[in-house]
Amino acid sequence: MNDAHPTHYDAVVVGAGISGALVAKQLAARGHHVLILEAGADRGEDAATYRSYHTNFQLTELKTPNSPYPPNPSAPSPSVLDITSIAAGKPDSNGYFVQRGPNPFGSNYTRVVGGTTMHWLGTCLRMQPVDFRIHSEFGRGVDWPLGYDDLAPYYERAEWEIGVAGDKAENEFHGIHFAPDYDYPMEPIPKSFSDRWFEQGVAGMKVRLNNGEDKVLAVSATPQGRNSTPRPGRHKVGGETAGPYGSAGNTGPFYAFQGQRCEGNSSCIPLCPVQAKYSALKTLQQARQQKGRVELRTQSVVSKVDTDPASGRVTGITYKRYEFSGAPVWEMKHVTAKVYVLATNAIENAKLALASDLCPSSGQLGRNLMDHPYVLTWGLAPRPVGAFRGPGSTASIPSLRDGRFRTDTAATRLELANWGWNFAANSPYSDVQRLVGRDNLFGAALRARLRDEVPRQVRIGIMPEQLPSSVNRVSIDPAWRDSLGEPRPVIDYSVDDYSRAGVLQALDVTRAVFARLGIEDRSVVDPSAPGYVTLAGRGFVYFGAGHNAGTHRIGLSPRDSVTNVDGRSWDHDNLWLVGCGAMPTIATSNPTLTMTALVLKAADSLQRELEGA
Amino acid sequence: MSMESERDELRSLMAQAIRIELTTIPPYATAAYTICEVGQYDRIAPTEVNAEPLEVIRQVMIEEMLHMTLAANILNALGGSVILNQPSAIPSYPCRLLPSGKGPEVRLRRFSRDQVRVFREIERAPVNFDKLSNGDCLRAETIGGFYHCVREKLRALCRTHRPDQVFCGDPAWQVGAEHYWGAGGQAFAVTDEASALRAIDMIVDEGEGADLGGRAGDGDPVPGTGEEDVAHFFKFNEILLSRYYRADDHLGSPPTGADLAVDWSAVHPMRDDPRAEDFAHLPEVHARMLAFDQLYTGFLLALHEAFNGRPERLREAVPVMIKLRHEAMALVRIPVNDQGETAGPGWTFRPIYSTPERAS
Amino acid sequence: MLMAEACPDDLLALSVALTGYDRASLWATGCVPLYLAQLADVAGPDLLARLETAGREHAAAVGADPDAADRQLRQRVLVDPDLGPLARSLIQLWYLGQWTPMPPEWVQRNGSKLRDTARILSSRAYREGLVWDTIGAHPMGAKAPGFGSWALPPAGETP
Ligand SMILES: Cc1cc2nc3c(=O)[nH]c(=O)nc-3n(C[C@H](O)[C@H](O)[C@H](O)COP(=O)(O)OP(=O)(O)OC[C@H]3O[C@@H](n4cnc5c(N)ncnc54)[C@H](O)[C@@H]3O)c2cc1C
Ligand code: SF4
Repeated sequence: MNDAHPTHYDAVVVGAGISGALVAKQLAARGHHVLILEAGADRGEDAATYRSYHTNFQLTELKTPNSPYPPNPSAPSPSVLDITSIAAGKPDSNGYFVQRGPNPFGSNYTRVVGGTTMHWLGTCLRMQPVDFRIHSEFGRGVDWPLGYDDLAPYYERAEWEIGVAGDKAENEFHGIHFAPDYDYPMEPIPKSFSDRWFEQGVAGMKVRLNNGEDKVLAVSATPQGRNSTPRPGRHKVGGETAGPYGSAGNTGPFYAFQGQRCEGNSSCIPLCPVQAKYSALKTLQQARQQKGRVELRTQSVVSKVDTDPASGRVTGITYKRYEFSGAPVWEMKHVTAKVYVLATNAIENAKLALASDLCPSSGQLGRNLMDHPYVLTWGLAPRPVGAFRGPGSTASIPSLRDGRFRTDTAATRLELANWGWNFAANSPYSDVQRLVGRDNLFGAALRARLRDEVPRQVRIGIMPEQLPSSVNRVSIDPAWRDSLGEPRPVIDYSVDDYSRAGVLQALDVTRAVFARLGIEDRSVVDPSAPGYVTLAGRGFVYFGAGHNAGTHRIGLSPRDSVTNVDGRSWDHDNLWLVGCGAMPTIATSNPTLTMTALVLKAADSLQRELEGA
Repeated sequence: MSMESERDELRSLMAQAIRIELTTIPPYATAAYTICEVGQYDRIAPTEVNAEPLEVIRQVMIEEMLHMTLAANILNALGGSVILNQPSAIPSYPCRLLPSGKGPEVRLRRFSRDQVRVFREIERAPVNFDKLSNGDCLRAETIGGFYHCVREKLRALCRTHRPDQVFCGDPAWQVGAEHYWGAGGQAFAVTDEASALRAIDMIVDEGEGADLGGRAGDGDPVPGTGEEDVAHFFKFNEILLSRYYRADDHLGSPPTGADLAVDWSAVHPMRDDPRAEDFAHLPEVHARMLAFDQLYTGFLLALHEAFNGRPERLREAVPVMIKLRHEAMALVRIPVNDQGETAGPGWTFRPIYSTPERAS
Repeated sequence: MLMAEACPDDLLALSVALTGYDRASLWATGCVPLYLAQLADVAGPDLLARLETAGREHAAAVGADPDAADRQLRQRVLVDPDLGPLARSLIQLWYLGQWTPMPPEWVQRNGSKLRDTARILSSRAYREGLVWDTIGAHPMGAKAPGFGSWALPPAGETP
């Protein structure tokens, strides 16, 4: 092969999302040479590309998470627009996923430089200590191979890598605790006016759950990966002194990769125009400034991880380099390294590992696929709360994240939304269309009605815990391939009664909250929607939350887990799998912060391996 | 001179400094907001144009805000008081930049080569320092000369007097990074000679260039990139020459960085030096321009409070600044005569005027 | 800058009546030429002339009796099978920056038009949708109101 690039590295990392970027940054900081192979298109890092994403977003009518990112047939991504109901025995192959049901898997991700954090919301919650041992406590799911206190130093480092804005006191509930000399790197993002209205409204509100348990509701500000103001002073972070957090805004033609302070653009999903919200582009940029060389090779779709059958060790990585998006031909290339890291996210990691016949011992690879089946309720407040202002969500009601009910009902987090019925009903577009098209309003009367109604829109999102289950899985099937000939993920998925019961319990609580605050319930449940499911005669519609997890879980034994606690494959000594796939359970927190803590732990072990310690 | 009178002189010089920094902001902002940034020519395929010059001017403007804040910190450290709530303290246009009446005439005009040349003039470094150092600062002919003179006076004062006599202001009045954090660098408290000189140096370096050696770089790393930012003088030259500088480029030689595309025709034809009074015959426009002035007045009053013991109020000024931008961008799109000239922001301080209901 | 082909005055008057925003506010969007050209393209010269007349008449009548002027507009324009759909799409264009295609009945009567497709006309059109001003917010992803502004009471409210 005649190739100008070197073909041997200390580490090859597959995927330029947050997981891959963090591994690269840490190894490069120690002087190691790292190659990142990324499936997404070239020039994904420069300012003009970033601006073009922004223009794409403004010009698309249906503003989905993937709308800023041009479709790339050479490295396709799933889209929420592809989801349909699945008839028995007839897989839905409309989009990139091949969905075998019985329920649709509603989540997506993005294959561009920066990965899915380009369009994530940035919510950075820790798991509660009890979440690490739900099998022992509630007889459900599995226990983690480590506990909250083991992960705490990594949580601290993760919060500083992402630049989380938060308030410790608001997050000390259900056993979550912080070291006294530790603090979040940024001051909290202020709660929205609407959050405060809810906070006052539910103050002291007690609800009785079906199992007889009483819960007192409270509102808590959400820690989030979004620039506010760096917290002054120095803090102990993962055992080392750090601070103040130094990512000031950027000027110059290099563009604002560290981002500015959040200005309330309110488009965090799908793209923050000023990079106030964390995206992996920031970490990639930092990775490039370390001692060791970091090379990012884009338009490089990893196709196979090669192994030596005798030792199980990985001998190299084969990838397909395409010249432009949709190119009919591509070049096969090969690289080798001392260690290999798969960081392509839960679904792609599983797919790639399955396609390479990796990790057979436990039989768990690709299984235990989890998400948060996300359910919306919405209504009209009796007063304007200022909808459509601020980041997507700045607070939640964590009261149902834990309780004795978890033996048979899923825990849930109630997320307070700031963008009215945008997600629920495409407001304010649908409002204008309705008032003009159906109610025949115009002029001053139209203006007055919009002014009166839209600022009163409120919405609560319900995020139930989903348990690991061997039937929810990613697999591959030679019949289904993409244009590069790579397997498309085949997905079996269902939302079980445990999660459904959690949703129904949460719906009862939100209904009580609506009643107490005088909110007129405007939620619509459409039985023909793909995500419509029922329990005991009550139906609701769920969506994907983008929290794909569980497919290569960590564990204590090769019998029931794919990797050890450090993400190192039991079957292949020089292979690590990192990302949300590592999580044995998903709890009720958005997964990325916990994932990042695990990635940093994995990076430590990679470092030890490379340095022979 | 006595210690008191020397300190008083420095205080009044710093008040002038604040005025100079403030004077530059409306013309820079006005030029930036007349730039059509998108979709001007072709309604079938709207294209993004001029995003880059807009970004360049925006950066300069944000840094001017920071400079004004640092100047206020120095004045407060010297125990003086910042005045931004009186008409006499607020520039109205056209005006001269410097107390000496020297330097370019500053006007509110649309984005054009001429106007950018004026901006470049504003940020030009003085040719000869010795001439300036021992004189009357008020007679300086460039901003750089002015600060150079102020710097010398400050150092002289610090040589002869105790720090606590010179820096007798209340430290609680200082604006720090916790109040001012965004783009354009960080504010820091001025409490002694070192921090005061650092503040002056930052103002001067970001304006004309570090060391005044004619190098483009301003000594500030662009956070997160490891690259060095370039000074304002060079930034305006970048626009005129359609090419970015690199930090190691020098005055007198052409920039060697990447292309910077500028479309001088994609600009709203704003009437020069617009004032609400000139549009009394167009009531809707008149009302909107007065509303703009009202917003600007509120902004200055918020700054006044922030610099007079309530630094936390700076946070509230930020949303107002953003509103000013959107209102200015709206005004420059409203045609006011058959030639297609448009209205624009007047940046007039009107403390007692109250807004009439907008007739919309 | 691109100017509307025809003198925009009467169509602007019609837009004022339909949106409830004054002329300066409509100009301030920077979208007048773009929108009126879109309207002209779909309406064709005859219907456009009728819309202009309606705009002129409303402007003349509104000073004396706004309610009567609005009633007349409703009868002349909004219930008219040819003008009504155009007017409703024009309102939505102003409010959302997005063109809503004519219904099938209209297309049957007037033929299909090249530009009569559902789309956001430009990224400026997206940013300048009047609805955001009406609801006291800002277009998602543009015209950010500044750090912490979401914590303040909604516009027009006292704390
Ligand atoms: C709409 C949405 C909102 C979200 N909001 C939140 C939130 O608020 N909080 C939270 O905690 N989490 C959130 N998430 C989840 C979060 O985005 C993911 O957990 C996170 O991005 C995972 O990071 P990763 O680096 O492991 O994977 P990714 O970010 O998906 O990156 C994987 C990278 O690998 C590349 N890649 C894939 N396949 C290949 C291949 N074969 N060869 C080479 N490269 C490849 C991809 O192009 C991509 O760059 C959200 C997700 C979505 C969809
Ligand atoms: S609210 Fe805006 S500025 Fe803030 S993070 Fe979201 S998109 Fe960025």
